[in-house]
Amino acid sequence: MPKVAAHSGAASPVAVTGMGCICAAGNSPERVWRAMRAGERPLLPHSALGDGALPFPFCGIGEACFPGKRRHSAADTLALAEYAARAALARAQLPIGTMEAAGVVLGTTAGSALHFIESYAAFKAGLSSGCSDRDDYFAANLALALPIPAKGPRLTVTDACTSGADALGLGMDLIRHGECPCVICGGADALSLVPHTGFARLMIYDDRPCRPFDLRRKGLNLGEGGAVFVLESMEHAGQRGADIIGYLLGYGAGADAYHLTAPHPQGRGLASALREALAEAALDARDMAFVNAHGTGTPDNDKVEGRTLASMLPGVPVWAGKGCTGHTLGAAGALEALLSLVALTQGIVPCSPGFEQPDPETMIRPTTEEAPTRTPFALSTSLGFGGGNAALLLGAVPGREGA
Amino acid sequence: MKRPFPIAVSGIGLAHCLSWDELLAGEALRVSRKTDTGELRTLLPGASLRRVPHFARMALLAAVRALRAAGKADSARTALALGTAYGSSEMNMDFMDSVLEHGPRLSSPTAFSHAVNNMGAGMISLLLDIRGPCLTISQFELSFAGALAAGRLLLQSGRADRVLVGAADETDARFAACCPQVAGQGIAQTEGAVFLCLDASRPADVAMDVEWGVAAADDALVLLSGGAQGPGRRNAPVYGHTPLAQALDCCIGISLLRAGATRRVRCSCADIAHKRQAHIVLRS
Repeated sequence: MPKVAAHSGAASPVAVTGMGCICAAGNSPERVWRAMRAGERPLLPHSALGDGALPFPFCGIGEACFPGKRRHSAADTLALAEYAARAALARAQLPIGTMEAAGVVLGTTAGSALHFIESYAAFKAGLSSGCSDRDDYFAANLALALPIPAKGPRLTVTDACTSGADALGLGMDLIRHGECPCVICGGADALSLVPHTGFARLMIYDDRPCRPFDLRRKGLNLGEGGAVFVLESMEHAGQRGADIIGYLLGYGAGADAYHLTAPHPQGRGLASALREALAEAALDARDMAFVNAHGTGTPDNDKVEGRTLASMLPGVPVWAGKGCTGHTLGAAGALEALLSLVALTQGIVPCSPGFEQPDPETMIRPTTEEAPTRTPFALSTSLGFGGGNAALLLGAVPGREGA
Repeated sequence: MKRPFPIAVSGIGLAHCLSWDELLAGEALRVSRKTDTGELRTLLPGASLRRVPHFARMALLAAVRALRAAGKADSARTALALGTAYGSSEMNMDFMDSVLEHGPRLSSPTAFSHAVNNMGAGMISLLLDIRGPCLTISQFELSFAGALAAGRLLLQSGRADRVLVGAADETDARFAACCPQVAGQGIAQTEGAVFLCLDASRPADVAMDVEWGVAAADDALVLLSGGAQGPGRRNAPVYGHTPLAQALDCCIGISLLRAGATRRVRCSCADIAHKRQAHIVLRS
């Protein structure tokens, strides 16, 4: 049993044996990591979403890189999830028996919403719909439709921007409680005109590259992508001699019960989620190499999150990555957990793209230069509409740095 | 190895065009109508309900009724797992209408924020001060099974002492007209919400589990919903065509177990689009 699993009082760790991802910054963990370190800001113009899109850029996946042909429907979200899942499964090399016993837990936001606007426009005009977006919606429920032979529990988590993190937390719990030896879990969201318009109308969108936690921040840049993990029980991974990438050690979730679209001023739910994740791993703030912040770039989120992190995790470096990936909604929690595990494995806390000028109100100064990690543990946070908050605690395999 | 985990069903709350007694009586549905949520005004401050859409009102009413039946508990240790096939279809259609009729620049931000699938769970958390994990599961006819599986995990892992597990879905004429997939094929479409209040710390009177895939043959009373096939009783003529069907079957099953009418009930459901199966197994 590796040292990381031996903390007294900790809940049993879960092994990560596969990871795959795709987003505007790249189509593999290695490529996204390189883009993050290089500080890339891969924005597409709004016109890439069609004529009616409001003038806000987004971190979109170019047509040349999108898996298959883009259909501008829920099928695109499924395509991103499937791409990430196949990459994760290729890395994990699961035996067929394990694959058949596996569960599937995937989070999404836009992928679960009734965004079939072309079909609806045709219906309202009294035309017979030749559009496929309505039928795609019914055919592409993320967990149910993922075309892999897993026969265990299948859950599509729709917790807005905490969906990906909650999916990983539920996946970990399924394994810990013996529901299945292995879970394919993560999140995905593809963008289309409807969610882009909705976020733009909420007045939380920056028309320039976003600046999480910066004094001049104006809002978020939406992104799209998918990130999927293969999680296994330590026992199962050990028995089959799996190559373990890292560990999921803790998960915490808590609701603000304060406002539908604004965070609790004292970060009540986030603090509760952080406490729970740390307690589950029997670790404390001093053990953390960094915290990967949700950091959307909206004035409210960053102020509350920054203050909560400053109070709960004093002295822990804060890394905010959405300046590179955009806010990938239901994928964000999983994508950022994946990048956190890459950072731990590489032994590097990267800089935070878009952050330059500290805002005294946030009470934190996210990373502006790369630094070596001090410990093999990190937290990743997610906050969402509806007042949801989630925290994941990840651990590197000792001695695997730079792998 | 899967471990047994007993759960006490400490309260059931229903908000539907049928009353609890009508549901249990098992007579064929005669009239389908919008669910009346007027009682909420006597249960929660009126101002707090001002901008709460119908979908969330139904969910709130069912949740309040389940909590009242269960009695008080620590709100910081109470969690929520809501299954909804479509979220608020009314708000989703309102937002698309606003884009199509007024253009993206004048589309409705309120409709958009209320159309997000976890809006119902967020409203319940906000208005009932539920501060544990709040999860929403959306997978058509299997949404309640997913929510129950998630809620059970929250209790089992000690993330909460109590969890409200429920299902909510509303009818919307525009949605039904645009999407034949949601129409009832000769059975009236109905809407509503149902919540079970589950406690880990009380003596369990009903054992509940969710099984996935093909069901093992057993001597259980089988209640069928969604695309589930095989021998068993189908209650759709009683409560109408609704994604809540498996949740309503579960309530009927609990009632039958408590009355001693049977010792084992299997509520089998399959989603129509993907043919995945989930079975809620209830034992006394």
